[in-house]
Amino acid sequence: MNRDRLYLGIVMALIVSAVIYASYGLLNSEKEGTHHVVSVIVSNSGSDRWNAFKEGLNQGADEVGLYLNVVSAPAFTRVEEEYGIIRRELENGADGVVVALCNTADPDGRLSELVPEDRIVLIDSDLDLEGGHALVQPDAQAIGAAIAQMILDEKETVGKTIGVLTGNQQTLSGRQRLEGFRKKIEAAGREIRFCAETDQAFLEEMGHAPDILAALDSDAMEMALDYLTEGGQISDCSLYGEGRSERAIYYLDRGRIQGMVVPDEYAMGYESAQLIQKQLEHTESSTTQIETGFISVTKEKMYDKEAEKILFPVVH
Amino acid sequence: MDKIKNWFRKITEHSGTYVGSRSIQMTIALSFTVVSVCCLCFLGILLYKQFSRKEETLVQENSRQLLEQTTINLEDYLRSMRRISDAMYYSVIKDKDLEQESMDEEMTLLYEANKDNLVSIACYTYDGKLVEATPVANEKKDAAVTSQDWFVDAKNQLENFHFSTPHVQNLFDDLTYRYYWVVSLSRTVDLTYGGKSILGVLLVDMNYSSIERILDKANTTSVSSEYIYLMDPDGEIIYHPKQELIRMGRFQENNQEAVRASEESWKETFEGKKRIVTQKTISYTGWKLVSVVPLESFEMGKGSTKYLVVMLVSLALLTTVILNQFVSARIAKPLRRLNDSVREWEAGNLEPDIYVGGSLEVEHLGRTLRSTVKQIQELMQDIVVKQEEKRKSELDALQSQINPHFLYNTLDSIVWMITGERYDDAVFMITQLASLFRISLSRGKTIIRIEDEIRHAENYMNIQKIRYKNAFEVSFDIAPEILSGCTVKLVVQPILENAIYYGMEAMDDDGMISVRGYRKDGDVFLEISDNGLGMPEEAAAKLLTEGERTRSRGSGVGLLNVHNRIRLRFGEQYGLQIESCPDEGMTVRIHIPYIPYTEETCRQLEEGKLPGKEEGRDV
Repeated sequence: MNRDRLYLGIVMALIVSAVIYASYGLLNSEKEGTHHVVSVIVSNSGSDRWNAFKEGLNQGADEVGLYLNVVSAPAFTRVEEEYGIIRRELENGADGVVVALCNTADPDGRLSELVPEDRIVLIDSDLDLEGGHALVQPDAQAIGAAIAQMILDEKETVGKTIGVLTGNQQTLSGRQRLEGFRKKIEAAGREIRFCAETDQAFLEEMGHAPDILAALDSDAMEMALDYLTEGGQISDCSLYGEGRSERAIYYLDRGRIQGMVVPDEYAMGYESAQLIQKQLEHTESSTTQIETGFISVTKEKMYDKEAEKILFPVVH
Repeated sequence: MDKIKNWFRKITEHSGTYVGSRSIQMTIALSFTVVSVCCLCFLGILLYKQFSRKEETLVQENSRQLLEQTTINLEDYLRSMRRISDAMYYSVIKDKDLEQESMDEEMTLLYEANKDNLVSIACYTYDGKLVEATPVANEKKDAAVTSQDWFVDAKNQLENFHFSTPHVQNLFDDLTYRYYWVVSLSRTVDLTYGGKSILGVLLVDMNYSSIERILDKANTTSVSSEYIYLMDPDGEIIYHPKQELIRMGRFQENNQEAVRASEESWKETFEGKKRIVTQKTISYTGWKLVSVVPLESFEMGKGSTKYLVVMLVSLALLTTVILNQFVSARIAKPLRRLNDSVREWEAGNLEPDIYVGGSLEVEHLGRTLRSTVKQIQELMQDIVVKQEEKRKSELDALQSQINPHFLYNTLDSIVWMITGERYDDAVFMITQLASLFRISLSRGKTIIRIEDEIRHAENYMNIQKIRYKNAFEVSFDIAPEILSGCTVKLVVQPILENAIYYGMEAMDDDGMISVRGYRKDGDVFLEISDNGLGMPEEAAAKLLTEGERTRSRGSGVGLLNVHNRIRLRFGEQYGLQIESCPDEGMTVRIHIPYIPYTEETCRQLEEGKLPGKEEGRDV
């Protein structure tokens, strides 16, 4: 009799367990997964150069259920401004940050103190001390080399002087671009007449304008366009470089820019969102590095189907 | 096959052993529960399958409706674009001689009325010269209109409308740096210049974002992971919710397979995922709107359905188990009570209270058992009666053994008395003998009063004293309170007879026999002591042992007979006790219960029943 009761008790316990299991499952099936909040901190965040990047970010965030907050920020001149925003965002409840640093030196490891490695994804450039953080960027050296290659591909540029607007050399990627560009040019037996980083230096050099001007990053391209198109300056120097803004594309279309390298910003945004989610879910190493692509485009090729898709990303 | 048979046999044997050793309640509950579990699980699976099928049908139906609705919306939009083109052509271009008149006003009016969906309207001659365009814009110098796809298509097929795939408009210079994704609707038109008709191309650039909006809305409406995409007749994707990911190579679409498919709906496996694909062709354009429903989207809703079904089945099981316990307890209760009655009977209670109740079958079983017990009781009673009769006849036979010897000796003494003219003694002797026989007969009764038994003993001793010429003395000391008690008749006389023959014969006129009666601890003791030769204690003990029974002289009735008669009547704890020492005499103690002599007690004792002693004590 006691054995019967024991068996009955076991059966009842099993059934009750099944009821509890099903109730728990039913309640949890209605629950949505955890949504992480991620802040995106980039210099001059309102600029249209980030449009494709933001589109990619949104697409990636939608897929993984991230809440994104693209922080309104001016063009950073000092990295401390960025650190301040990172600190503020984390204090305000952000689970992670996607950051494009304006200065990648970080000699004191302040970034690591500020934010754990598994809560940050760097874009556009790694820290000078490479490999410590998750990173999404195009191959900067390859971009530099591609710009150089476009110059070299034009027969009429032979023997002409080349000036370089280096862009931000406080970032590793900026220096890598320059290095890639320089190597390619020098390997072809050509010389670079000047390398200017700041407005001041550029203007000084433009007193005796080179035949070819290479702008190695988007800001440098904007600076060059400002000078060549809107500054009232008369110069017929050819312009090559990296560009991402609608204005740069327009001037490529107009023929003012002879050749332009356009990074796949949409891919960079998409991969950043996916990577930060994986970081926060601890399913990806905090040192994962993803390389996104870029295209070299000229006026003639800019309406090709593939180029179109990168130059004019469809905004949903 | 043999293995399966063996397993089946083992399972059957095991379950048989298990079920066989269970209580009936557990067996019923277990059987009900097993059947319920099987039925409920079967129902659960059926329910789950039914749910899943319904859900699949619902999703497919929703998907089909969504596809149809989106097709209608898209066709409406494209129809409105064609109407703009028609209005432009038939109402404006055909009526004007462009050498003298401008169509700018009408074109602008038409544009303004539809500018939400339009990027521009333009009209070119066949050699690529711009005739008119709105909104007013600078034409690009190097636009190469004649080589653009929409222009080429319009020239190649004069009669038709041509819808291009989405592309970035490359016609006008927008100083605000803006570029537009457009779908170009182009057609060949007749332009009139100075009364001459020349061919030209009318271009209506539709804003791609309008098409995108329609399809985005459809994809947002979709609740599961299904989606809709649009492609041209060559399979080139016009719209896809993951267009950029396709470009990046992060997502693949099976559009080339879809464009080849002839049926409207089919199932396919693409990149390891099963999905249902449905397509609709958009009128005039040949575009195909494709709905993709991944089968895994059905699984998303199935999770909660599964839990719901498990919970419902579990709750039903719980209820069933409890109900089974209740029902089985109800069914088993009468059987258990009947079983308890049988156990009580088995335990020795010859008059058990057999339970009669429960269901008809159990009630019938109870009645039958009760009847059987009653019959057994009656049979046992019969056996007891017969046994009693047998015992009685044996007693009668024993008693009858007294009479011949004693009667012969006594009558012989009387004859000698009469012969010796001792008439008074003879009269006394005959009187005593008569009294003795009257008590001996007692109208056939076996149980008599102790008073009568003592009188009988006195009669006997009076006769024997005369026969033995007062060679011994006899004394009677009987407590009056025992006189009204019951005794088996003729128990004292055989002991007296033994005392005379064994104890007194060797005595020389100094023999002494005393009879003492008293009550102790509720029982009656009658002690017959003599001062004769006595015997060793061991020999005395053997007198009451069946195997050592020795025939005595005199009447021939031994102490063992008396001992057995008392025990037969009153029980094993009663009978004779003998104390004896050689040369010191012997004491034989009769131990019987005190039972007051009444008609009822007498009748019960005669029937072999022993009335309650307590009752006797109280009397």
